[in-house]
Amino acid sequence: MTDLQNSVEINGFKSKLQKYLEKPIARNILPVIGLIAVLIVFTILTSGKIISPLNITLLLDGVYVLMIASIGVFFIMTMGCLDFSQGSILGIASIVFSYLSGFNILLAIIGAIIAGALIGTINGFFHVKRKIPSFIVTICTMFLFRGFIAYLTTNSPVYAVSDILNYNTVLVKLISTVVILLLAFLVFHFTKLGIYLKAIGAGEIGSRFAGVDVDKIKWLMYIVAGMITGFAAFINVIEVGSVTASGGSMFETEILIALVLGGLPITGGVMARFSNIITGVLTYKVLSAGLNMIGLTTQTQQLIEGVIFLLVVALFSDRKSLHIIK
Amino acid sequence: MDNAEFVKKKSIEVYFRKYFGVLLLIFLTIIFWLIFKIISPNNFGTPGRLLSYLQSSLIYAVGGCGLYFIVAMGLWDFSIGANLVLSSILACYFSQQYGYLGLILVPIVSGTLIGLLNGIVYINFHIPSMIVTVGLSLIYESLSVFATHGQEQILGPNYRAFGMYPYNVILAVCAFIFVSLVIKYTKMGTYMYAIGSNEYLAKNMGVDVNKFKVLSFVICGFLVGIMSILNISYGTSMTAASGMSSMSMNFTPLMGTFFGMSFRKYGTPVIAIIIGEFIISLIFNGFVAIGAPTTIQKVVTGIALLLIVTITTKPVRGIVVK
Repeated sequence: MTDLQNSVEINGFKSKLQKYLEKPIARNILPVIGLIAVLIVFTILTSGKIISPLNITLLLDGVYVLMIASIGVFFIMTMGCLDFSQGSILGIASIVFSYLSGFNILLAIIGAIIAGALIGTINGFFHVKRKIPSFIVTICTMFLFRGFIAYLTTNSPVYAVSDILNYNTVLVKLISTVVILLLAFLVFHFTKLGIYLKAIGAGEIGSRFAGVDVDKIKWLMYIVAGMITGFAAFINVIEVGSVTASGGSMFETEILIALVLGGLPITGGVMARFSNIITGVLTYKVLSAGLNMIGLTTQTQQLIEGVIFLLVVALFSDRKSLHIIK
Repeated sequence: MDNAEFVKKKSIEVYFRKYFGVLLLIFLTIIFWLIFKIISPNNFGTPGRLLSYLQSSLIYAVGGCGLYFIVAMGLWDFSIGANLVLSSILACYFSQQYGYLGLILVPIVSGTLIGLLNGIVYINFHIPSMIVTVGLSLIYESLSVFATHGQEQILGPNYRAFGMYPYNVILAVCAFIFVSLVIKYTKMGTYMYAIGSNEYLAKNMGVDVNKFKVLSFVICGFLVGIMSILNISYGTSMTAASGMSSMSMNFTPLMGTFFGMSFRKYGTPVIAIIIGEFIISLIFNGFVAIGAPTTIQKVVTGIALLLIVTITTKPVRGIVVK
């Protein structure tokens, strides 16, 4: 076969694959297939250990915080923006929660949500009013608040009141997660806001001409994402009881990888599906637990996660909406 | 006004503009020096100390110059921290075997290769550069751990010349001259601004946009390689990074780049990057001198970067920013 034929063949395959990937059904099904495939692969590799009841409970324990915080970032990423400050929000909100937990648990939850909202407000201000790319703003605030977390935990971890661990029951965590997921689902599917979010992601100028107050919605979503992660801090603290200097570090990367694994295109827009959150978080957790269980070191896990992340982003990127890639 | 007079007036104007930027930067430097000198007269800003601030800021300025090629095109590279760690580690390792040849050649080659890989993946995967470089830095970080088994790498005492005056200054100045020449006299310099201001137009004018984008990543990587030599020679040790901890190393060079971007209208990006990094070094050391805890450095970095970006970007109504 000549080189020319060869390249035509490869191009033909590539374009066929691309055409298939652009079909909505492929985007709905592929992430689920991915999740099932990851489960099957690790069930075989760990000879069934990963699906033992004990391990599933452990797995679910790690899911709640990530699942809740991913919801806010999902909204932001649907608009085509990014948020890299969620780890710091989780850390700061956990510290606020721990301080206030001595007074009243409800007050502590509200305090954590307000702390998250405040950081979200700062993100929103610089992104919306000063027109600085969201990634830059949030990476600055991530850094800034990580400094505060380190400062506040310099001498010792910040401890919550000791009986906080009593709240660490599956019931509390499961109900909290399901309620927030349900609320977010309803907002995303049955309110104007959900449609606006997709519209902004698909074409900001177009949605502006259609009468959507893009700036207001963007700012609002940064605040909401902060509030949701503020609430996730409650679950985070009842699981561990204290906050250390590393509280929430790498969390933003986990959220990003999880959502991308769930099939959310990095550019947001109409291709965003609410199911991306659930499949993504589960896939990520199964993947990292599996890699851990087969005895890979942390750096090998990081290497594999990095490669998978890049491949999946490339697979799901919405090329039609990206004329210029910056 | 006759023609000669007009030309003369114009050239004075150009001359003034050129030096206005530099004068403004020097003025800023003096202001910051004064602020910390007044607060902490004994611990801060003696001539000897100023020289040492300058020497450490040169390291970041080299990286800032590399990033300038990326940022001027409207792209981002968040892998230079991971690149720096990996190249420094390799420099350390190969200096034990090949002496100065290993110390100089290896980080330049590895830095450049990493830049090339960034460019190739970015062009072929069609995904935003910030996402690509974040993903790739996960990979580079884990490679740095593989290379060292997590142990700290220490540069042998015989190979530390580039950490000291005058060799560090010579190497840094070579890098600055290289960058200035590329910006002023090559196609790369012209096209990077063209791609930065309107990529679509540049493409239609016949500029091979993809080629120059990859080239900008390569030049950036090359300069990060030089930065690694200076960095490992100055700091003498390097630990592998994991869990995105290398991300923090992107910021100090990036701040210098922003200085370069905002002062480029005065025609002096490289000088602005150097003085900008010096100002940042002054601020960091100033905080240390007045006894602020070291953890506050991250806070200062975050706020400073946010302020610099805020001041240097003009919010245009209705612009699409994602």
